[in-house]
Amino acid sequence: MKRLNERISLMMLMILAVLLLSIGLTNALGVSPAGKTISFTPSTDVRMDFYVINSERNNLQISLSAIGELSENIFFEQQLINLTAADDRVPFSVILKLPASLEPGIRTSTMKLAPIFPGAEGSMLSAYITPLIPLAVRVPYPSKYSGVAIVVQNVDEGTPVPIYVEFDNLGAEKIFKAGAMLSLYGPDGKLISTMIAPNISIEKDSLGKTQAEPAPILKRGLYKIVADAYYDGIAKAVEANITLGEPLLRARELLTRQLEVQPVSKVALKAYNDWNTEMSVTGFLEIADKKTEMTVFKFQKYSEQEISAFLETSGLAPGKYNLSVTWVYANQIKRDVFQVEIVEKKAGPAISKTTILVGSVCLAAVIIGLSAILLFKRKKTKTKY
Amino acid sequence: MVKQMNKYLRMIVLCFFVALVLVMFTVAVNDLQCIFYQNTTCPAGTARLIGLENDTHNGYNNAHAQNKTISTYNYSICCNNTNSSIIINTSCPGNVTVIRLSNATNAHVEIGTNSNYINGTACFGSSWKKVSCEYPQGSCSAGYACILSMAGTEGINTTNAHVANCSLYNQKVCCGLTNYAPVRPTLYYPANNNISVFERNPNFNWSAAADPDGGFASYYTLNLTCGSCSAGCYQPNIGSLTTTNYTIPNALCVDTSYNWSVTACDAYGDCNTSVVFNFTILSVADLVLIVNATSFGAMALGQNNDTTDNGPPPLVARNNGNVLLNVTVNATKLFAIADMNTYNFQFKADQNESGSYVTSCSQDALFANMSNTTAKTLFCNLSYVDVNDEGQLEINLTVPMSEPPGTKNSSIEVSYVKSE
Repeated sequence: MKRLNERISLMMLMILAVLLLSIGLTNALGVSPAGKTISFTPSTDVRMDFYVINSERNNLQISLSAIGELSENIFFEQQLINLTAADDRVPFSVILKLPASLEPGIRTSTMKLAPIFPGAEGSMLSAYITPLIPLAVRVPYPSKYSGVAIVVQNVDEGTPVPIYVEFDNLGAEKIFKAGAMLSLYGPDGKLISTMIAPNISIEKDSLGKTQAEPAPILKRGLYKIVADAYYDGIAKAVEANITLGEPLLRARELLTRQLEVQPVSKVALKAYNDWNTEMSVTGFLEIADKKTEMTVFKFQKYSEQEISAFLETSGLAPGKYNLSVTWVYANQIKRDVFQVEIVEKKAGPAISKTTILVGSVCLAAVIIGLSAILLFKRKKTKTKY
Repeated sequence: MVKQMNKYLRMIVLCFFVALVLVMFTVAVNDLQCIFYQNTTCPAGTARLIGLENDTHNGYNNAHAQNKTISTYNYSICCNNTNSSIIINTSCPGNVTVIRLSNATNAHVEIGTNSNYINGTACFGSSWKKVSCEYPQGSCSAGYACILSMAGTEGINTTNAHVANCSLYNQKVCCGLTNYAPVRPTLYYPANNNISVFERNPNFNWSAAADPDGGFASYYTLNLTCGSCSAGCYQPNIGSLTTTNYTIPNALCVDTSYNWSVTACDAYGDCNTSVVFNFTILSVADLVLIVNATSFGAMALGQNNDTTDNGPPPLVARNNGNVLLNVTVNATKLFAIADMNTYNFQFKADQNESGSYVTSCSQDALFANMSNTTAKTLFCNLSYVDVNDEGQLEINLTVPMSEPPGTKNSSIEVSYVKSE
């Protein structure tokens, strides 16, 4: 008994220790801006200013380092930053020594801020934060060059969907004429519509966008856009798969609004797949404290389907209940609630004496009739031979 | 040469004439106009302002007036608009008072801004714009039409007066369809050239725009643009706002220069736009480990335990910044016998607030082996929105069968980078 008490006390102490460890163990480290992109100027030093954010006002020493392709060009005015409880934010600078030349494109590196004495000492597992800040240099291509991307703005169903073609002029010259022809396809590969993104001009080291017309009105679903883009005589094809809205299963109707008290009750529902691809749906039914998993149902695109599942209703007192249906599909969980009535199981219909008598007479008459036919047929056969 | 010059001259004269006609048409198109009409009722399309006649019942000059609802006087002032789609009405109250009548009939009149007479009024309203009246000596201002003239017998013409057509007396009653746009709103927040706005969905704030015609603007339109920014950047133009502040529903882009302005309009659609302010939302990447340590206590050889049941508790991270974050983890070796990147030390993501990260690209469903060399994705697109910006780092430990006894420690490096 004494041993048991000791064990309980020890357990309590351990739980307390774990709770104490959990309380107030905060560790925070932030940086602003969260990243920087500059344009390449040969053989120059570019100074970039940042702040370390010490939102938890910790006493901390931070070490700065650079990783990635530009790491040898990145220098810090101070390699270590001291944060004190009085500092909410501390400025620091990064010097990027740009060489005479760099490979064209977007050259990137990452700045890492690592605390020197991280974590909560004495804990089995302790964590600390190391922000990674991307630094990028836009190095122009020697002649005309543009990155092309398709950008689709998410809008409510039934509204024209704004589709843009974006040109990122990464060349050494201005682009005078850029545009695109676009084709929109459904998930089955069928062409839905074609669009034209009118011509625009784009300054050197700038972003230009042109909206495809006419903007299509689309239902929620998956689509593919192919853009045959061009800029100053150079063709470039890009494509993008887009998702408008989220997959949606709409529960339409509960067909079994009355369930009997029994070990297995059948629940029938009608639901509609408001998405443009087939969807696998599972989930569970819940009534009072009883829960049953549903099997996996396949819903064709834009189709209504009747599904059934089984639910234990034994032990439930007759009355009105909320039947909860939880649908699990396409990384989503959705819940619908229906009102059902639980009723006592009905006894089977009693067979009256009259029914038995009438039935017996009918049966006898059928047997007599059949016998007579058989006898008559046999006689006929004998006569033939 | 002279012939060609004449040709040019003719063209210039023609252009001038066309322009003049256009200007005249524009000015006149919505003008109020009133006529003195010899009848107790007005022709279709016009509204009766007052009835009037002189003492001998055969003229409308030097006349007494009667309320428009009484039809015993032989003359009427009938009004309409040059544009037939604009309806002029003469009901009172609710419209601008043109003149006041001393009695319902056989009345002297006074100007609408006086208040000596309480027994009758003649009013103007319009289905288009606000009606304004003025009472000058001499001629009406531009945009105002002369309705009548009036004169008193004792040297004062603005009250106790008789009525006549506009050419007779010096004291005029002039009305017009005039309307003034509200003044420009003053923009408050975000302030001009503020380059360190933190909120991704700022609450835009501006002053109420006074309407010179009375009250304040009926509605406002908030306009935001970011020029050559990405097409993915939200650039709203939100109209019909009846408040002087508005929180935009979608997040704006960070580190992008935005221009914003507000247009104030009155009920008649006359508007005035504020000056344009510029601001930038400065990106802030800031992760906080609300719980940054946990202990599994004493564990037996071969024993497995995890933090999914909160005993021991998982580590918890919160995105305190204003950009989406991709969060990765790696850790120092925990067990003496077992290598890292094995089932002995595993991790997974869990929601501390629902929808805090994108499950499909996070380590959400299953535990993954913790590495000491490779940073592995924990959360993908960890949200910065207050109500769903917290995720859990769940830990799963299995003690190796031949692990020597002793205290086991590991430091977990939680790295993050902006993902937008």
